[in-house]
Order: sequence, then structure tokens, then C-alpha cells
Amino acid sequence: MRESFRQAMAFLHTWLGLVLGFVLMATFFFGSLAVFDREIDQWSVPETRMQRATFPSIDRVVLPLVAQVRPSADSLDQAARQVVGPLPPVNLLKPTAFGVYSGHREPLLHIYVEFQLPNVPRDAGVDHVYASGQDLIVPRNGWHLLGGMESRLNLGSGFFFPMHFMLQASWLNIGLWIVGLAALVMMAALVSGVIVHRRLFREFFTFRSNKSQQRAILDLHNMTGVLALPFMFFMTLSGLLIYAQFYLPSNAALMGPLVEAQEQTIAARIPLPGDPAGTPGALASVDAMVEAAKVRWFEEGSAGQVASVAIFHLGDSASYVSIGRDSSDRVLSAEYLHFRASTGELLYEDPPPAAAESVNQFLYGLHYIQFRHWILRWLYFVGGLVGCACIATGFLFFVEKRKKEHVALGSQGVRVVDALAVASVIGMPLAAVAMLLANRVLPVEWPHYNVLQMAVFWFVWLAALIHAGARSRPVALGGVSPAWAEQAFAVAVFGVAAAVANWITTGDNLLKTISAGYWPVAGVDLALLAGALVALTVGLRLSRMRAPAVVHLTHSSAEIGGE
Amino acid sequence: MMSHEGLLSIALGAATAGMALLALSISSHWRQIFGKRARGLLSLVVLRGGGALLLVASFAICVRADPILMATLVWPMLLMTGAGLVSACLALQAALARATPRS
Repeated sequence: MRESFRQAMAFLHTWLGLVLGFVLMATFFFGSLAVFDREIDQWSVPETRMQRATFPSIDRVVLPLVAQVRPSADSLDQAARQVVGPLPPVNLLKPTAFGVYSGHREPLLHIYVEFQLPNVPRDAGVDHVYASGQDLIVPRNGWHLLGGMESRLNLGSGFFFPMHFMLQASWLNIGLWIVGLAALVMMAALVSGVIVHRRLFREFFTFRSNKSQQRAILDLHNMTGVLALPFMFFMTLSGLLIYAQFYLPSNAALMGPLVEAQEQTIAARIPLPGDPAGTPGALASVDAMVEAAKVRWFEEGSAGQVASVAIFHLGDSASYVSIGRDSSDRVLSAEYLHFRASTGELLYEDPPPAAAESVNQFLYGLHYIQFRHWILRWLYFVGGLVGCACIATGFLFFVEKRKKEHVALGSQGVRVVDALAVASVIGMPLAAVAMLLANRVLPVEWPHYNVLQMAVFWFVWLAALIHAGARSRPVALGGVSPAWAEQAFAVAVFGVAAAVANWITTGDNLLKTISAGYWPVAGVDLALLAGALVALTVGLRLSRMRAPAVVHLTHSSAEIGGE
Repeated sequence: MMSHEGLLSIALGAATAGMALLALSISSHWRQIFGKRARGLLSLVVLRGGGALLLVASFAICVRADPILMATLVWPMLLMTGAGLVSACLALQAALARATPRS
């Protein structure tokens, strides 16, 4: 039993941090990358590289294009498993709803079309089953569908962002559970870290690089932990709350009948038809409804632009149009106005959120950062990397503190932790950069292009782990593993190679993108080169660190010890 | 009317200056910069009070630049940046002082 509360907190902080720190490292690193997910998307799918255009006319541009969007093969496969009998021919499926949306970081308009299937659902609790199709609307030579991009892997929103919250492990949602557990542990680690750090205020600004390695690393761990404490606390808390209903499904599990009754009460108050009427209806000018929405927002003192337009029960007399305000000027989420499709009259306006819902929306908003604030976005990016530095220095301190003891005992413990630390602190960024390089180098026409990019990521990360383990012997002798420097050099090489490959394969080099003011691609290239420079500097410094003095036990020495 | 970026730059400046004063109110950092020069109680009060006021001023400028809910997100991040800059300067100053031979 620990002698004091502080010692108990130190024990908790050390072992929880060590065990789940590797997961938290991934969460914070990919969270930092996800801050610029849309920009990474544009880098990884060059066909989408273009300057953002204004929201087009729904009547003249979007509606004619809706008929061209077909349900995707994946969606049809999934729907076929949920219904009785064969699906009707695809060309006979009519769109029953669609939506278009854009954002200040989206160069193109996303279109999403829903097709209600006439088949009876297998699940008696489900009213209808739908198939869906997606595409991008491009403002080039008039407006048209981009086509073929819906299945392309967007490295930012399609890979790095899911890595952040579910580790790309969807089997039984195990990734969500692991990240949730790590987030809970992070809260405990933050609180216990504050309790353990006795001289929190006196050492607030302290970094003693001239002291022992162990002292310097602890100073850095304390400093990064304290400086980024508010950021890490609120990111972790809001992340847990976003998935609170998943981790603690109290609504569904404990209050099923009450929840249904509540949903019915709310639905009764909202005059938006949940089902089509079954009779045909006309569609009034949606552009006029968009203008009416802008006027209403202006009159309410929240003038703004449109971010999304959706039409439900398309072609039916019960059809309505939902118009969402571009809320990139605020932390809270979007507001919607709903119009009757046949006449354009305002049917319903989402009421202002109640206090609890406002707090909920604020916490969502501060985590998802959909707002337009480039300075804050960059500060979030830096904050995430500071969080990574805090976790990484925690690993290093664990190793340095126990190195001498483990060397004396002949234990391999610090060697194992050090190898895992190399793989997570440097190996993980290495895998990410290798994936970006593969994105540019692998032929797009290859049928398994998406899978190959992901395979490169996992293979490089596994190789980094194996390399770290194989090169870790000096740690068991009290030295520094050369894997740190070697993998840092690899990051530098891959980073420069990815930026050069982008130039060769797309013609977009820094001179061109910066002079054109095309910052999404310029930003990613600059980050790759800056990261390469940092990695090179770190690699050079680490490679100059002395190897441990290796003591070779001779036969006579062993005899003296054993008499 | 100053630009949004201009206002936030001033807010960062105020946060950094505030953190610098608070750092100097810590005896180890006072000694690092001013050597054996005594630091009286009045100086301590001025340093801590002035530092706190500058941090509050930084928040006020953030509220001027952005809606208040956005400012509550921007301000802690500017504090983190300011404190980081001050820590880096103190570490660099200490390294330079060690590298400079004493006359």
C-alpha cells in the first residue's frame, strides 16, 4: 500500500500513463493532423484541388445534377442485406431525398442523394431501407459532377481523422472502446499529474537543459503538461462527451419507452412530415427559399451565408426544404430553417437551444473546430503536438529513471518500453509520412489503390516497431537506442520525398502554390519540409550522443564475483 | 479599426509580457536574469499584479477580436504560447550565459 496520497497518485500516473500512453500518443498525433484534414484531403486527391467557389443556384445547377447521381455499389450491397427479396434495377430507383453542403475549407460542393427502396425491411422495427449515392460538384467549365471520386480515399478525413477517434479498428467498435478508455485514463493522468507535481507554480517556466538527462526530460514533461493542461483537459472531456451515449447508452438501455415517448412528443411539436404523403407535389423555387433564409437570419441579427440545403420526400406533396446556416463564425453548431417545398412558406425554425443543449453544442463545437479561425486552428495544431511532447517525455522519463536499476538487475523492461516509445513517438509519424508518399507514388489506376496506401501505413509502422526492438540492445546496457536517430532520419527523407513526389506527379510545387495563394497544398508541403528539418536536426543530435561503455565480463572477473 | 490578426497579435504580446512578469516574480528566474540584485516585496507585488493585469488585458483584447465564446478558446491557447515563449527565452538565456566565459 502506498505511504501517502501523493505517492499513490504518482503510481497511478506512471502506470496508467505508460500502459495507455501509446494509444493517447496516436489520439493526439492524429488529432493534430485531423485539424487540417480537409487540406490533407486536397493534397491526397489532386483532382479536388481548386479554389473554393460560392454556393451555386439550386434550381439551375444542383437539381439537374441530382438525377445523375446513382446509388453506390457498397450502399446497394448493404441495403440488399437489410431487405426481403431482390432489389429493383438501379435505373428504376428514384431519388427520394438529397442534400448539398459546403464549408469554408471545402473547395467543392458535396452532394448526397438518398433512394428509398420499395422492398420490405427484414427488421420489423425499421420503416424503410435506403441506398445512397455521393458525388462532388465542381465549379469548372460550368458546374458538373466530378464523378469517380466518391470511392477515393481522402487521407485526412478518411484515414487520419478516423485513426484519431477509433484507431481504424471498427470490428465490434473496439477502436472506440480503446480510445474511450484511454481518454478516461487521460483525465485521471491529468489530475494525478497536477497532484504529483509539487512545485507546479515555482517550476512553471523551468527547463534545465544543463542538468542530468533525467532532470531535463522531467522538466520538459512538466512544462508541456502544465502549459497545455487546459487544452488537453477540454479536448479529452469534450471527446468523451461526444461519445458519451455510446459508452453509457443509458437512454436506450434504461429508458427505452420514455425515450420513444419523448421522440413522439418532439415529433408532434415539429410540423415536419416524417413520411411522404404518397401524392405528387410541385417544387417551388429553392433559390427563393435560400434568399428568404438569408433575410430571416439578417432580421434576427445573425446574418450569414448558406452552408447546406436538403430536400426531403422529393416530388411528394409532403416534401420540405431544410436550409442550414454557415456557422463558421461561431463555436456552436448550425441553425436550420425548414420550408414547405411546394409553396416556399416557412414551416419551422429550429428554436434556440436550451441551456444544457447550448453547453453540449459548445463542447462539440470546441472539439470539432468547424469554425473559421485560422489562428485558433493553428494553435490547436500546436496544442496537439505539445500534448504529444508531454506523452513522449513521459515515456522517456520512465526509461531514464529506471535504466540504471534495470541494467544492474539485467532486466529488459526499459528496453521494451524504449522500443515501444520509438515506434509510437517517431514510428507513427514515419508511417503517416510514408502513406503520403505512397499516395503520390502509387498509380491511381491500380484497383487496390486505397488499400495499398493503408497497407503502406501499417507495414511501415510495424517495420518501425520491429526495427526499434532489434536496435534496442544499447538501452539494456544503459545507453541510447540508435533507432531514435535512424527513424528520425527516415522521417526526414520521406518528408522531403513526399513533397518532391507531389511536385513531380501534379506539377504543384511550393513556388507555384504560394504565388497562387493555394494554401491547402502549400501548407501540407511546408509542414512536410518543416517536419523533415526538425526530424533531421533531432536525428543529428541523437546520433552524436555517446554509446554506453560496454563492459565485457572475462572468465576471471566472473570467478571473482562468484567465490 | 485594427485587423483581426493585429488585435490577436497584441493579445499574444500582452499574454507573453504578463507571463514574463510572472516568471520574474519567481525567485529562481529573478536570480537568473538579475543575479544577486535584491527583489523587494513591492517589486514582487508589482511583478505579480502587473503580470496578472496583462493576462486580463490579453483576454479583453481577445474579446474585442472575436465573439466571447470564441475568445474563451483563443485566450488559453495564447497563454500557452506566451508561457512557452518565456520558457524558451529563459532556457536560451541560461544556455548562453553558461557558454559565455566570465570576465
